[in-house]
Formats: sequence, C-alpha cells, structure tokens
Amino acid sequence: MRRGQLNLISIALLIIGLIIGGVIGYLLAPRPAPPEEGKLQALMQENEELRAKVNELLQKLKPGEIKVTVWTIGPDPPSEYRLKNFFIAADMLNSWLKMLGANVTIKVEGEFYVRPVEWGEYKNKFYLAYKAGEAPDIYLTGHEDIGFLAENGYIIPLDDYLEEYWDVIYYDIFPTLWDAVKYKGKIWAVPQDTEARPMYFRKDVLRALGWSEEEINELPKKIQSGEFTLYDLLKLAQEAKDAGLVERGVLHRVKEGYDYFQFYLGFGGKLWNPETGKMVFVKSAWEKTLKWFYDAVYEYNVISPNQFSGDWDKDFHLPFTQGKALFLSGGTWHKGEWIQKGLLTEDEFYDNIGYALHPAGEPSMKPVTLSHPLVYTITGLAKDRGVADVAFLLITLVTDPHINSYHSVQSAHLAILRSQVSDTRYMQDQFLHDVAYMLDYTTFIPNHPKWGDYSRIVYNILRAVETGDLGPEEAYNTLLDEIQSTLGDAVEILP
Amino acid sequence: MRIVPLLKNSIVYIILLLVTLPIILLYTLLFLQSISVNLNGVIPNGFTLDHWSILSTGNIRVPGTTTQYYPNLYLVASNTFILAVIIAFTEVVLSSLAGYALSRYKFAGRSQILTLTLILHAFPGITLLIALFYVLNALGLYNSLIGVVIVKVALDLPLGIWIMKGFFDGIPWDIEMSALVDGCSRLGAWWRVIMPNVRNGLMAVLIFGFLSGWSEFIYVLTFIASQDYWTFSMFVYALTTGEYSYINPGITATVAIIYMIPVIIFFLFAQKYLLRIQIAGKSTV
Amino acid sequence: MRFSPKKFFVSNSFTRKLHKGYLYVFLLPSLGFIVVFFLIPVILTFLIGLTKMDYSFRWDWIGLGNYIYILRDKWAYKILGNTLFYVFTTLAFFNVGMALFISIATTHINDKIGSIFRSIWLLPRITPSTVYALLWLWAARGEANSLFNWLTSIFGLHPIDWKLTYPWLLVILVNGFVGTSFGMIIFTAALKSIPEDYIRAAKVDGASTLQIIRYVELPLIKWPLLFVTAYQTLSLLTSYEYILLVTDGGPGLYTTEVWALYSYHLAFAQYGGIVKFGYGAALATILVIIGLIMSVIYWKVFRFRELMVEPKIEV
Repeated sequence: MRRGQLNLISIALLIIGLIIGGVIGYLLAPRPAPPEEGKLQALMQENEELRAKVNELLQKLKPGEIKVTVWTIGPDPPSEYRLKNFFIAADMLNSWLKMLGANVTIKVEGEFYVRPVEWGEYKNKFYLAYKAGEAPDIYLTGHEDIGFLAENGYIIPLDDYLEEYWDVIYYDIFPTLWDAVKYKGKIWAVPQDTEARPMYFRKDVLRALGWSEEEINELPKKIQSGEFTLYDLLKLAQEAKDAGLVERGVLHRVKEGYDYFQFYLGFGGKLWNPETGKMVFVKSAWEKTLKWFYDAVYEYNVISPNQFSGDWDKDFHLPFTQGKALFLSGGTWHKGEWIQKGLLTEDEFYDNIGYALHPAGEPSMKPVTLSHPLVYTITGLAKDRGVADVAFLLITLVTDPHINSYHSVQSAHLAILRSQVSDTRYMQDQFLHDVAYMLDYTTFIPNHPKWGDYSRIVYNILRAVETGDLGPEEAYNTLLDEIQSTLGDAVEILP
Repeated sequence: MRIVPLLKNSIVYIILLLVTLPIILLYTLLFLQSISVNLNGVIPNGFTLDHWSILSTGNIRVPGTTTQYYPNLYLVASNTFILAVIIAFTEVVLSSLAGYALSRYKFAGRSQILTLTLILHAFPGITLLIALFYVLNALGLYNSLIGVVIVKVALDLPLGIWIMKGFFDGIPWDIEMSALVDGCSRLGAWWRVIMPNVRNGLMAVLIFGFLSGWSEFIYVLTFIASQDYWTFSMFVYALTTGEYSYINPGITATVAIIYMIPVIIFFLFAQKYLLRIQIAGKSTV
Repeated sequence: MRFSPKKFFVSNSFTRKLHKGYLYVFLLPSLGFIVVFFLIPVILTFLIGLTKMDYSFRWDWIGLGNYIYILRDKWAYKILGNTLFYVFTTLAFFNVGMALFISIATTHINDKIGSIFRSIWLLPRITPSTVYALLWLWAARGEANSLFNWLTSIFGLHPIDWKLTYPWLLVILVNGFVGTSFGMIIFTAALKSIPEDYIRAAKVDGASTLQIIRYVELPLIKWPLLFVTAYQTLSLLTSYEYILLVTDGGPGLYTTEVWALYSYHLAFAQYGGIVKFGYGAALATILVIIGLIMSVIYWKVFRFRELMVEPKIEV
C-alpha cells in the first residue's frame, strides 16, 4: 500500500512538474501582445498553487528506489531497443525527479531474450514465472495473446490510465493498432511496434533472367494490382531454377509462425469475424492454399520438402542474401537482421533486393501482408507490487516518436505513431518509407484465446504437405477435421 | 600354425577399431575444432588459439547486437559447479543415512520401503516432468537452482540408497558393536566407524551425483527461466541451436571442452567408480 | 553365521543406544524427498491427465477425454509406430547387439587393450548430453567439410545433409552409442565370471572360438542378456533427450517424434504458448503405467535385488 501511494505521488509530482514547466515556458515565451491583466494574474496564481502542491507532496514522499521489471524478446537481436528504451525512459524520469528535488529513483531491470529462445519458450517462462510470483511488471508479447492473458487475470486493463493520459501521446497511435489490443471491450495493452511481411525478391537474378530494370521495378506494382499471382511466382521461381541461376526458388520461415496464413489470405481466406468474435475457416481458400504448397514442392520443385525443418541461417537467411534463392517470404525486420549481422550492406540491399506484397492467389483476388503488432502489457503482479502506475508511466515515456524510432529504424519495424513518420531518424530510412503502403493491405491475427491451436494445426498440416506425408486433398480433409474437432464453436466454417 | 589365430585376432581388432572409430573421431573433432581456423573432416586448416581467448572475459557476444545477451561464461561455470556440488553432497548424505537405516535397522515397513525404492529406481523419472513442474511451482521453487537440485536428488536417491545399502551390508556387525561397547552413541558409531569403511561407496555416489548434476539438461531447460541461472548445458544448447549460429564453432567447441573438464578428469582417474555406477546405475538410455 | 540384530536387541545392555529414535533421523529426509518429488508427482500425473489444464492452471476435469482423444489423434499412431521402431532398432543394433559384440570381442583379446576399448565406449555415456549431441550435429552437417561427408567423399560420394536425408539413422546412432555401455559392462562382468574350466574343457574337446561363444558363453549369460533387454526397453521407451537435441522430432512432421517427446512438446514446447498439460500428462501417464509395470517385473523376475547389492564387479 505504502509503495502504491509512493508511486501515485511520484506520478502526480511529475505531471505537476510538467505542468509547471509548461506554464513557466508559456509565461516566458515572447508574445506579440501581452496577455490581459486578469488572465496573467490567474495564471500566476495557479502557478503558485501548483508549487505549493508540489512542495506538499514532496514532503510526504518517502525517499527510496522503485524497481520495475520488464521482459522483452526479439527474438531477432536488432530489436534490443524494446528493452533498451526503458533504460532511456528511466534515465529521463530520474533526471526529472532530481530536478524536482524528489528523493526517489526509478530502476528498470529487464531481460531481452534472443534466439535460441523462441516465442514458445519465452511465453512458457512468463506463465511459469507468474505462478511463482517472479514474472515482470511489464511484459512484451504478441497482441494475439491478450485474450488469453486477460481471461486468466495475467494482465490488467489499461482503459483508466489511457483515458487520463490520452492527450500525452496515445492519441497519436494509429487507430488500427488499438483494434489489435482490444478484448471484450477493454484495452489491455499499448502497441510497441508493427511490421509488414514483404515478399522479397532478388533483382540480380531477374536481371540475369533478362528482365529490364523497368520490368523489375514494375514487379511490386504488378503484385499490388493482383496481376502477378502466387502461381506466377512459382513459375518465375522455376524458370530461374531451371536456368541454373538459383539453387532454391522460394524460401519461407523454417519454424512455426504465423507467416503462412498470408498464402491463405492471398487465396481469399479470412482469419476472423469481428462481429461474432469467432475465428474463420474459409474452405475454398484452405483447399487452394494446401494445393499451392503441394505444387510448390512437388510440381514446380521450388520449395524444399524440408524447408520447415531447416536452419534459420542455412535455409533462410544465407541462401537469399547470397543470391542463391529468388524469393523469400519474410518480414520487414529481416532487412534489419541482414544489415545488423553484416550479411548485406545498405547499398547491396537496395541494389539487389526488391520487396513487394505477398501476391494474390488468383487474378481476381487481392495481394496481402500480415502484421503482428507487439504490445506492452502490465501484469497483475505489477499491481500487487504497487508499481503499476510507474510501469504505465514508463510505457508512456517509451511511446514516443523519437525513442520508438531507435527501435524501428535499427530493427526495420514500422511506426506506431503518426508523428513518428516525420521523425528525423525514421524519415531517413528508405526501406521503412517504401513499405509503409503495405499496411493498407494488412491483416491482424485474431485476438482469440484459441488462436494458438488454429495456428498449430495449420502448421502441422502444411509441414505434412511439404514433406509429402499428406497429399493436398487428404491434407485438406485432415485440416478441416482437426479444426472442427479441436476448436468446435470457436471457429466459423465458410464455403 | 600361429598365423591363423593371429589373423583371426587382427580381424577382431580391425572390426573393434572400426565400430569404435566414430567415438574417437567425434571427440578428436571437438578438440581440433577448438584450435583450428577451419576443419576439413578432421584435417585442420590453420592453427589458432583465438577461440580460447573467451576465457579472458568470459563474454560471448551475439553478432548483430551491441549488448551482451548471453550470460558470462564464469557465471555459468559457477552455477553449474554449485548445482553439481550441492546435488552430490545432498545425495551422499541422504543416501548414506537411509542406506544405513535400511541395512541395519529392523522396523515395520522396511521391506515395503526397500521394494518401493527398487521400483522407483527402475522407474523413469523423466515421465513426471509436468507434475514435477506443478509441484515446484506450488512450492515456489520454479526458476531456482534449488528447485533443480531437489528434483535431481529425489530422482537419483533410490539409486544412491541402494548403492550405499550394498556397502553397509558388506560391513560386519562386530566393528560397529565394538564401537558401541566402547561408549560411542549410535550416531557416533555410524560417523566414526562405519562411514570410513564405506569410502568407496561414498565416492561412487558422490561422483555419480556430481556428474548427474553437472550434465543435467532437461530440468534446467524446463524449470529455469532466468539466464542468471543458466548452466553449461543450456549454454552449449544455446550456442548450438541458435539462429545466430554465427557464433564461431571454434568458440562453441571451446565452451564444450571446458564443460567436459570434470568428465575427463573422472574418466581418466576414477574409472572404477564410474563402472560401478554404470552397473548399478539406471541409465537413461 | 551372521550376526542377528534381533538377538542383539534382546540380549544387549546397550539397547538404549539402539533406540529407534535415530531411525527417523536416518530415514526421514530421504523418504520426504521421495514422497514429495516421486510419489506425489506420479499421482499428479494421473490427475492432470484427467483435465484439460493449460496455462490457466485450472483443473477442468474431463474424465477420460484425453485418452479418447489419443485414440482419435491421427498423429498418435504414427508416433507410436516411430516409438516402437526406435526402441527395437536401437536395442537390437546397439544396446544389446553392439554391447554383446564389444564385450565378447574385448574379452577374447589382450585384456589391457580390451579394457581400453571398453573405456572408450564409456565416454559417450558420461559426456553431457548437449555436448554429445553437438558432436553428432557437427559430424552430420550438410557441408562438404563435415565429418560424415568428408568420410564418404573418400568413396566418391556427394555431400548430403545427414539430418535431413537419414534422420532415423542419426537418431539411432546417437542413442545407440550412448546406450551400448550399459549392456557392455553387464555382459563383460558376466563373461568374466564364467569359470576358466568351462572354456578350457571346451577347448580340449576341440571347439573353435566361435563354437565356444555360441555353445558355452552365450547360454551362460542368458539372464544378463534378458535383463539388459528388458531394462533398456523401458529406458529407451521413456528417453527423448537426445532426440530433442538432435532432430527435435523432425525433419518434416513427426518424422522422428517418439511418444515421450510428443508429451514433452505438447506440455512445454508450443510456439504460441498454448500448452496442453492435460493431454501431455495423459500421454505421460501411459508411459508411467508401463514404467511401473516393468519395474515390478524386474523386481520379481530378475532378482534385481541381488544385482543391486553386489555392484563390486571390476571390469
């Protein structure tokens, strides 16, 4: 309790401090005309009142250190600012507290998990640590978990905080991102970043195939217009492979993930129905998707039957950055990894690599991409420990166009704030600028507690299709059967 | 006349050598990897001691990051050592106490306890992972080295108890009796007279416990959340399977060799104990 | 002959010192550990198997729902088949087969050299699993300079990725080279305890070495042979650590997934964090039951006790 009061006091202090600063700044600023006599008087008086309040609060404040723990994950190392930004925020906060003469310091402790820790392990650790009372105060996770976390009391709703501090920064967040953090009418998290998943292609391979520079630059537009479809992609990859220009045609991620749903979306699939809150299974789209994967491996020979069991370096990054594969279904952050790891220089990247949406399945359909915003949540433990207020304050501070751009630029993730787009660092990044349009074509993963089951079943079936364990029709029947028997009512089956 | 058996023998030697060769090559590979720039099969391509320079700071950096994300090698080493030592000593103390009681006392339930320990000894504890996790969580021991210690000790104990009971059974009662007659307490007799006589058994349990703790992987993987408590097994696992397999294999090999040091020492100097453990020991495979 | 504690208790004046109070000091710590971390988990495994517990940690009882689901689980059958294949192949070729070969071969040659070979076979067993798995993973890499490819290139073969091309071969080799030592030591001890006279008599009768092995030695180590087979069957059935480290059940869908690993994956290795403790525990319960039955069988059939009491065999 004492802790909680302390925190509230320190927040109040800050806000008051900020207001005083603002007032003083307002007063000192040169103006064309002096304010009216009465208004100045009122402002001066308000200023005095605030000063008195601050002093009163300062006297009540017990000196000490408030510790806030933060868990974050890459798993790509360049995303380290997901954690580092909190250190920056804490430094800012501490200098303000010092300016105000408050004898309180904020200490951020945290972990940033990189591979081999994968999402699954990271989440395991959170749930288990939560039970043991050792979970952090701020927990970064994928937005799709909010349903489960909220249902089981792992996180607290943030509506009250957001309402109160909306004008500080939150009004600036892209409205669609708020949709991703809502569950049952409440907001449970603050978006941290978002991204698009481009289909990368090697320009140099296309050049070698005899494409003109103009044709190459047209490709993303052709994909955007739906003219260039997923089967065109297979044909092109096969052509390059047959010509001996590449060893592999198309690469996709090698472990479980959500990227595969883009192909389903490209074939006209839908993931969820916002009106009923249920997940959606579009029969025709899945049938076509499974057939496409089968054809890619066994008809066109452009995806390796063991792609799902591959190694991130050997079967994903390296073949593409070394020009031994034509297409790579990746994410914006992969560009960040290639640059950070020194696999490519910026120049090499722009010279040899192009990026487009994931093509539509058929000419009548639309190209797609998928976004998976990561979000900061405040845990129930933070509330128990009485640091929820400070935790929220820190989240507010890292939700800043400049600070967030440290992260988005280094790791090639997309902006979450409108004003971030005009941040100097962010603006300078050509790639982030180029892919921004993709967000118009994006879909989020459903915020459904059973989403993980849907994803796991799809992953298993796709894996079985690629390895040849299941033929496309058998795979489709199995998929439908498993979805129905495991998820039952949670999913709507559409033709 | 003598040629035939000689020939026969050399065929046996050749076959033995052939089937054993993979083991020899694998360990040679590990050693060479740590001191070579590059390996072609088992032929080193240039000699270097660079990989061993991680010993100076103990820091191994993930390429592409500006911060240290793997725990320090020395922290990992001391975690592993602490874990192994606590496991070893706890097992020695508990199994020699229980082994003594089961060997010397006659009491109701003795044969039931003996049977139980025996059955548990053959029982694969690894199948209990989910439940063990539940128990640790309930006791607040999740994400602590102590949690791993306790689980390991509990699962290894039946073996330790049986080894120790065997040794106690081998000591004649007269020795103990004369101590008691001389005025020792029961506890005193156990400590001063009996224990020195079962030194070999204690050594076997100690070495077994140490190696068992030192090598533990699954329980550390499952029950430890924080990198601060990583042991060598997790560290090597991380270096092996990470996406960032950009970690030079030479460095991984160096860490693996450091991890192997106690194993090699026991292998060279304490083989008779190892064999004893092997026979009595329930092996996981 | 033997000192009788009972008589001693009755007749001796030091009875006070032998007070059973100490008994609890000796016994209770171990019993406590075993009850809390062995017996309770066994019961808990059964119970969790009757729920659909996940990270909500709620006890949602569904009776035998999980077991019914196992029967409907398309992959469970494939995994069962994998498990049987894995256990019997590894057992036949290594844990019993190779172990028998090594112990017979090394007892028929120079004793010093023989024991050196046996020592080498002990090494994989005491090597930490992560290091041992690492060695094989390196050796089996797809690059032309990896150990396997370097060796096969001598015969003019092209480099292949062994883990992807022959996953089962790798899994069985990795487990087999560890698993051999147990049987090897027991067989060697048994072979060495065969009285010299038997062999000498057979030699006098003009038996060849092979005949001696076939008609004298093998029949005499029948019991150890049976014991190792039974014991290692259970060990292999429940082992998954090396498979987890080497192929993690892949490549492809459940290609090398075995029953115990499936249970582990469901409970602890879900990408979305959507774990199935209940289903995993139900799968584990089946192993627990098999384990309990087999442990009781060892105890009854193999006079396990005697084997345990006398571990003082020098090899």
